[in-house]
Amino acid sequence: MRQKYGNILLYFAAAVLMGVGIHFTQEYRFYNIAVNDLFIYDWADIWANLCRTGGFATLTASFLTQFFHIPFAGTAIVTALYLLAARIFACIGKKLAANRGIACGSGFIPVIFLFLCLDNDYYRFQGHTGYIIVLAAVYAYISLPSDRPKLRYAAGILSIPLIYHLSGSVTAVYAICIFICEVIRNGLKGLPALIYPAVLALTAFINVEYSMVDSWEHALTPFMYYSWPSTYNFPFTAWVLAPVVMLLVWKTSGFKMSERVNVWIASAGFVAAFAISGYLYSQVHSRSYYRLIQEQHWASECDWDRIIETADRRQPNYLISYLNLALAQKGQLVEKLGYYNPQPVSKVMFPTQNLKTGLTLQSTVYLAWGYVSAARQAAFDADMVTPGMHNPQQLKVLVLTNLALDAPEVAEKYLGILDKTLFHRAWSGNMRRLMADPTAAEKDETLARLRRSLPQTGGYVRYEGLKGDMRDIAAADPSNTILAQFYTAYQMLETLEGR
Amino acid sequence: MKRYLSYILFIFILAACSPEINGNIGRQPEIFPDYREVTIPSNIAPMNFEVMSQEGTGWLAVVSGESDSLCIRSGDGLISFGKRQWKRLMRENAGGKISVKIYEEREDGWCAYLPFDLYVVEGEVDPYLAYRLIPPGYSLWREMSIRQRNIESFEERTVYANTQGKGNCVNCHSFCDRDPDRMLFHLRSEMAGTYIFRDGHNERLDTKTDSTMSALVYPYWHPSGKYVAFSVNRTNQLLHTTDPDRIEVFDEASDVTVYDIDNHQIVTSDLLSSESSFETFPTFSPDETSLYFCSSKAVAPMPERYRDARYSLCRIDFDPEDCTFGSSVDTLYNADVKGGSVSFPRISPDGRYLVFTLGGYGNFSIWHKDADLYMIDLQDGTVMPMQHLNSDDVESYHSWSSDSRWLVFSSRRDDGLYTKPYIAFIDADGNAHKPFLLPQKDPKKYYQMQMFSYNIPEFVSGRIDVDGREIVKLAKTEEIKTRYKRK
Repeated sequence: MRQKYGNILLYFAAAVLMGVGIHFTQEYRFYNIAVNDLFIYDWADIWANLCRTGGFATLTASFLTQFFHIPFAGTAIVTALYLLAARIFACIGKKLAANRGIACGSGFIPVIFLFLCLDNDYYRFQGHTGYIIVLAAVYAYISLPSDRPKLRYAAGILSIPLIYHLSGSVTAVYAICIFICEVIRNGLKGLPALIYPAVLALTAFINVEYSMVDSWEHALTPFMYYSWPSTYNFPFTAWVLAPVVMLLVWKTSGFKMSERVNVWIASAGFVAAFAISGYLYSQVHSRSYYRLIQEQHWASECDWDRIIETADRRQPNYLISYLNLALAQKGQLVEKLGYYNPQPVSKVMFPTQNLKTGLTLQSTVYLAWGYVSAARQAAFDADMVTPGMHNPQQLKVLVLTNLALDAPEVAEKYLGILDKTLFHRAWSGNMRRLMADPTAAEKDETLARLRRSLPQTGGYVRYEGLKGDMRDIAAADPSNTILAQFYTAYQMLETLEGR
Repeated sequence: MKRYLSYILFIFILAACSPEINGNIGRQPEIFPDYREVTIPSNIAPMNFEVMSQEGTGWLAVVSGESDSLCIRSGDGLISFGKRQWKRLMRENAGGKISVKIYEEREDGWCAYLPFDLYVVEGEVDPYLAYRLIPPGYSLWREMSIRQRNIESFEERTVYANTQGKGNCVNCHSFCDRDPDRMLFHLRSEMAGTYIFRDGHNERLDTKTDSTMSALVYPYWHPSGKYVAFSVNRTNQLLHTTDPDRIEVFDEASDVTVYDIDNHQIVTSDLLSSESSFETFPTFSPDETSLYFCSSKAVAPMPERYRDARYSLCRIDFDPEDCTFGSSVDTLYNADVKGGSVSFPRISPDGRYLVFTLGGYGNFSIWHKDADLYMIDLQDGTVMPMQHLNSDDVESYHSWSSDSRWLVFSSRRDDGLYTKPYIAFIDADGNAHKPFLLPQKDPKKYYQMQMFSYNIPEFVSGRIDVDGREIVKLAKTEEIKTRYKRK
C-alpha cells in the first residue's frame, strides 16, 4: 500500500515539477505552436490526412495544439504527454524486469529530449504524438503472451506497416524496441525478430517508392517531423534512448532492490532528468527569439502595457517592433523613442532568423499602420511558411486586408477555412454577416480604418521606400495616429543616423 | 405523417428516377464547377459538380444519354458519378451529348430545373496534365511541386516536390511535343541547374555564362528534340499598394537564345539579343523552321516606366540543320499599332493556329486582370479574341493538346487569385467552345481548400517516369557547363 502511494506521490511530484518547469520555459511557445497548426473539422480533410503516412499522428497533434492558445492548456497537455511517455517506459520496464524504479527513473531521460524539441520552431508536434503512439505499441507488443511466438511475430510484422502509416518514421523506434525485446526474452532464439528491421526497411522503401514520403532521410529519421530542413539532434537522441532505456532496465533485472529503493531510484532519475534538461535548455534556448514570441502573443491580445512594462531598455529597438507598436498604441512612441535603445532607420527590423515570426511581426505592424497591401503580402507569406499550412491569425489578416482591398472572393476562401475550426468559426461568422450587410461593413471600425488608409494614388510598396509609403498613408488618413507616430519616429531616426 | 410520406416519395423516386414535380424552376441550376453546356473529351474523368442552392434539402440528377439514363441522389448538393457508369456514359455518347436534369427537394416538394447538356467529343485528349503547384504569392514558399494528373481519373502524382530536395524553387517545366520522356525544368538555389531528361539520358546544366544576363529561363522545345529555345531575363518584382493587380513582375532586360542540347551550346543572334529591345517567350513552330517570340522596345528606367513595355509578336526563320537564324524579323502582331502586349505564343501542333495572351502592358500576364487569350489563324493572319474562353479576370498560360483540338489554360476567374486549369475544345474551324474546370472528386471542397495555384498546365501524352529520387540523384552529379555562341 505504501509503495502504491509512493508511486502516486512520485508521479504527482513529477507532474507538478515538470508542469512548473514547462510552463515557465515554454508558455509563449505554446501560444506560438497554436497558431502554427490549425485543426480543420472537415471529414474530407481528416480522411485525406489519415490516408497520408504519419497522418494520424499529424491529426492528433493538430487536434491537441488547437487548445494551446488557452492559458495553461499547452502546459497541461504537454505535461500529461510526457508523464504518459514516462509511465509507458515504466510499464515496459516492469514487463522486462522487476526493477520498476530504474525503469521509471530512466524513462524520464528520453522525455528530456522530447522537451528540448519544443525549443526548435521547425519541429512539428506530430513527432511527439507519433512517439507516444509508438511507445504504447511497444507496450502492447510486450504484453502479448510470451508462449505464443507465432502470434507475436505475426502481430509484429503486421503492426510495423500499420504503425508506420499512423505515426510515420518514428516506427523505426518501435521496430528496434520489439526486436530487442525478443532478443532479451529469448536470447539467440529471438534472432528471427531481425525480420522487424527488415519489414521496417521494406515499408520505408515502399513509402519512398510511391512518393508517400519524400526521401529515405524522411522515411527513417526524425526529419519527417520537421517543417523545414533543420537540425534534429534532440528527437534523434530521444529515439536512440528509447531502446537504450529498455536494455538498461533489462540489464538491472538481476539486482534485488526493495520497493523503497525502487521509488528512490525513480525519484533520482526524475530529478536527474530535470536537472539535465534545465542545463541543456539553458544552452539551446534563444532568449531574443522567446521574447519575440512573447511580444507576438501580447500584441495579439492587445496587451500593450505588458510589452512596455517588460521591455529591456538595453535591447536594440528597431523601428518595426512590437515595443514601438505598443508605445504607439499608447500614444508614447515619439516621446519615448530615445529611451529604448533606438536602432538606425536603415535596418528597420530585428534580423530574426525565423521567417514566420518576422513576417508575423510585419503583418501585425503594417495592419496597425493601415499599410494594407504590405500587411496582406506579409500575412500571405507568413501563412504560407506556417508548418501546418494555416495560421489563424494570419488568415484573419488576409480576410480583413482582402476585404479592404475589395477582393471579397479571396477573403471568402480564407473564411471557408476558418469556418472549419473550433475556435475561429465565430469570428468567421461575424465577418460573413459584415460582408452580407454593406452598411454594417462600412460602420465596422477596423475595415473602415483600413479602407481610409488606402493611398489615393496607386503606387508600389517598397518602391519609394518605407518612408514614401508611410507618407502616402498618412496623407490618405490624417486621423491615423499610429502611422503618424511611426512616420515621425522614422524621421527622427533618420536625422539621428545622419549625424 | 408528412415526413413518412416524403420518405415513401423518396423511395418511389429512387425506383422510378422521376420524382413527382411540384413546380418548375425556370432556369438552369447554379453549379460549381460550371459544367453547363461545356464540350468534353470522351476520356475525361467523372465531371462531378455541386449544386449551389440555399433552398434545397436534397437533389436528384437524372443524366440521360443516347440509350441510357442514370439517377444520382445527393443530400449535400454534390453530384458524384461512379467511375464505371461515367465511363459507360462517355463511351455510349461519344460524338453526341448527355443531358442533365436536376431536381431539387424543397419544403413544398420537388422542383425541376431546366436541363443542361454536356457535349461529348468523339476523340480523346492527352491523358495527362503536368503543372506546378505554387503558392500565389510568388515571393516566399514552403512547398512547391511539379505534379502530374491523370485526367482520365483523379490520380495525381508528384514528379518533384521541393521538400524532396533542399526546399528550393522548381520552375519552368517543359516537354518536347508533350512527350513524357523528354522534359526539362529548372531548380534554383542550392541544387541549381537546368535539368534535362531526354529518353533516359539525364543532364544537369549550369546555363549561366559570362555572356548572358542570367541562367536560362522560359523554355520551348524544338520539335526535333535537339534544341530548346530559352529566354534569359533580368526580372524584378514589386507589390502594388492599391491596384487590383497585386504584384508587378517586369523585365529590366531580356534576350532569346537557343540551346543546342548535344553540343551544350547556347546560341543567339543579334536579332534575338538586341540591347534596344526586350525579347522573351520563344516558341518554335511545329514545322521546325520558325522561331516565334515576344519583343518590346527596351524601356528604362524601371520600374517607373513599367507600363510602357509592350510586347509584339515576332517571328524569325530557324534552320535546324545548323542552328542558324534568318536575317530578318517579321511582326505578326504589332503592339505599338494594335495595342496591348503579347505573351506566351503557342502554336497548335497542326500549325494552323497560334494562341497568345494579350494584356495591357508587360509580359507577366498572370498578375494582370485584363489579360485574355487571343488566337491568330496562321493561314490568313486574322487575330481574334477567344471570347468563349475569356473572363473578367486573368487568363494566362495555355498549351495545346497533341491533336490540336484542346487547349488547357490557366485562369483566375473563380476568386481572382488562385489560378486553376480550364480545358477548352477548339473545333476544326478554330471556334473555341465553353471551357471546363479540371474535374475533381469533390470539386467544391477541393478547390476551396486548395491553397496553391496551378502554374504552367501542360498536356502530356503519357506518364512521366522521372521521379524525385532520380532528380535528387542527378542534383548530386557535377553540372555540365554550357558554352555561348553568337551567330
